[in-house]
Amino acid sequence: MQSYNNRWITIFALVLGIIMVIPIYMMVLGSLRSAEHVFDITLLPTQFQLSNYQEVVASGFLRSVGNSLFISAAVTVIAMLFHAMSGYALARLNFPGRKYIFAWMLSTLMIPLAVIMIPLFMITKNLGMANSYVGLIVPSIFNAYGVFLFRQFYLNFPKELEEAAYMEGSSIAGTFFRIVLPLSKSVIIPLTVGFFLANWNAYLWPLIINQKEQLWVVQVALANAIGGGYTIPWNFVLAASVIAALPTMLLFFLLQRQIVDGIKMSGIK
Amino acid sequence: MSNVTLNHVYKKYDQINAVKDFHLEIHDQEFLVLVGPSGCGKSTTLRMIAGLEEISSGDLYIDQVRVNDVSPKARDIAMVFQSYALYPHMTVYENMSFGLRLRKYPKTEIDQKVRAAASVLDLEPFLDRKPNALSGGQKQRVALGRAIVRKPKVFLMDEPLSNLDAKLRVQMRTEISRLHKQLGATVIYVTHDQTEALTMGDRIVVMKDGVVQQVGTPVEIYHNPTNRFVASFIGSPAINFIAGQLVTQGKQLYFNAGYISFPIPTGKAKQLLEQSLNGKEITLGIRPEAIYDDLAVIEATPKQTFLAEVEMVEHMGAEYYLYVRVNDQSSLTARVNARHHYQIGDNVKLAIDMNKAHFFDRKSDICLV
Ligand SMILES: Nc1ncnc2c1ncn2[C@@H]1O[C@H](COP(=O)(O)OP(=O)(O)OP(=O)(O)O)[C@@H](O)[C@H]1O
Ligand SMILES: [Mg+2]
Repeated sequence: MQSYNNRWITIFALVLGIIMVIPIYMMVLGSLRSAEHVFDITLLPTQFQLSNYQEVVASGFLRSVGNSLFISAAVTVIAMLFHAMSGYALARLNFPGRKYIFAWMLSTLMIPLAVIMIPLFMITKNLGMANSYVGLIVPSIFNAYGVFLFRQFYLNFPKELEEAAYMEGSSIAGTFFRIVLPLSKSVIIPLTVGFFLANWNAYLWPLIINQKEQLWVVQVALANAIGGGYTIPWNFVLAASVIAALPTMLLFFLLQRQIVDGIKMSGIK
Repeated sequence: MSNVTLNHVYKKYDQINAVKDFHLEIHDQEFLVLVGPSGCGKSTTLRMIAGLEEISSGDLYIDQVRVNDVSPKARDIAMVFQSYALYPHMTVYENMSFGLRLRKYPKTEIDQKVRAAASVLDLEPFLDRKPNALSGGQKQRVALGRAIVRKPKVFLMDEPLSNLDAKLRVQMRTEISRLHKQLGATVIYVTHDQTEALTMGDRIVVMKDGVVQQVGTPVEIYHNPTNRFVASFIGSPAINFIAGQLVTQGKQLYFNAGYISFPIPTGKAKQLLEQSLNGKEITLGIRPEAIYDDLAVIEATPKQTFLAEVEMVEHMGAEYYLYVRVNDQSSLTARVNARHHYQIGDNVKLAIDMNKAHFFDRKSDICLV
């Protein structure tokens, strides 16, 4: 019975996996073909030309890759730090209105970005942050989900470790940075992955807050490659897409286990 | 000098009074043990002294300085936690040097102090290990080491041995006592184990429901308990209680429970009569070691003997704990030499040493004599 079940689950998972992988495979095949043959349906590679990639590199697409790397990394690092701190404050420090602040933060989870897009744009622009890295980075930092996960983690954090540090002469901030933060890896790693990917894939906000071509992020650059003229250079777009997807896949293969743990964690808590 | 004074200290949580009117001066270099059942407020008291818990009312002095509003780090106190609370991401060396590094001691001095403490506690081979790679006893010693490197004024220990196995506990008991003498430090030690209290404490504070029941040396606490609770909490196996009445026959005062009746020795009788307790309902308390099965004792004090039926025998090696039932009325424990062989159901003759008896008021449970 057990093995019977397992076999069907395996087959089901395999089919799902193939369905997921096919488009990626097609993308890689297409990126290696000339413009006329891009949409040939074949299972095996028919052409193997790297000229598409050369063209992508020559077009300056890599600059957008660099922008995305920088912005995603900056948002992630800053967000981890601030989310950890606010999660810790909400879990441990006693200050008036703590419950309400937390509830208010959580309520932002229910508001989609599209709803606040215009006011957010206006505020950011009035602060003089439009068309700059700051404008691309700062508004993306706050995320209630991250704060929430950190808070839940710190509610279960062994308090005696902190108390021991206080007795040894540590301040609240010192205890946080020396004891608490180094022991928060199990939240930080999955959240880092999630944040990095979310920012890497961000499209709408980078599109509207920035007009300068040299600040384009990957997704915006891709969209521009598609939307440029009467005929879409699909072979070029596919090669660019492969490059855009590379960091994502790399991250996934490197941190597969932690990502799964992270999903489990957010599912349980 | 490092004495700690608690002046009518209270701790109130929303509804409950966790600690009520704790009033005590703890002397320099004293080993003070707080003992009591779970939830009696021992940890709360300790944590107020540490500064981890706010004092609801009353004053706390360390070396004559009021420290109610002084942060833990400025109190110069070290604390050893029940869970050890070692930092898992730091090596033993880093754990032990944490406080010194925060205080910006020079590296060479830190090194010297840590190594000195490590050698006292036999921790040298483990200095580069992380806590996860240590046994419970080793972790315990690291926690002690972390406390002693700083040479603080006062050590606080909250049930530091309760996670160790029985043998290691006995070993660490002597080790902590030795450390205490070696360091000449003031130690406040929390435990719910009366054996630890009796063996380690210079003085013992017995607590119940947030209220101090008695403060005294182990000998005072054991031999002169102020009330029934202290008498029953301290001592193992526990003291026996028999409900009865004081009656006079002729000139002799007797303790009479109906099925047994023992004459009360002159000294104690006088004290009881002075409180005009003749005829009063009282509870007799007698420790298991004051009940004998020796023939010599039984023959010498025939009026203090009684017959009982053996319910259970616990073999403790050199002695037996004899659980007996008297006249189907009361169960008593006797602690006798392992000389005779007893079987369940045997009828035995036992003698009670009334000179060692305690008398408690039936209503207030206060010790009368
Ligand atoms: N933060 C708190 N809020 C409310 N009540 C508390 C709090 N901390 C402790 N108490 C209560 O105070 C009382 C004393 O607790 P305390 O921890 O001092 O007991 P204890 O003597 O150390 O017991 P144990 O031997 O189980 O450790 C208990 O009734 C407990 O429920
Ligand atoms: Mg406790």
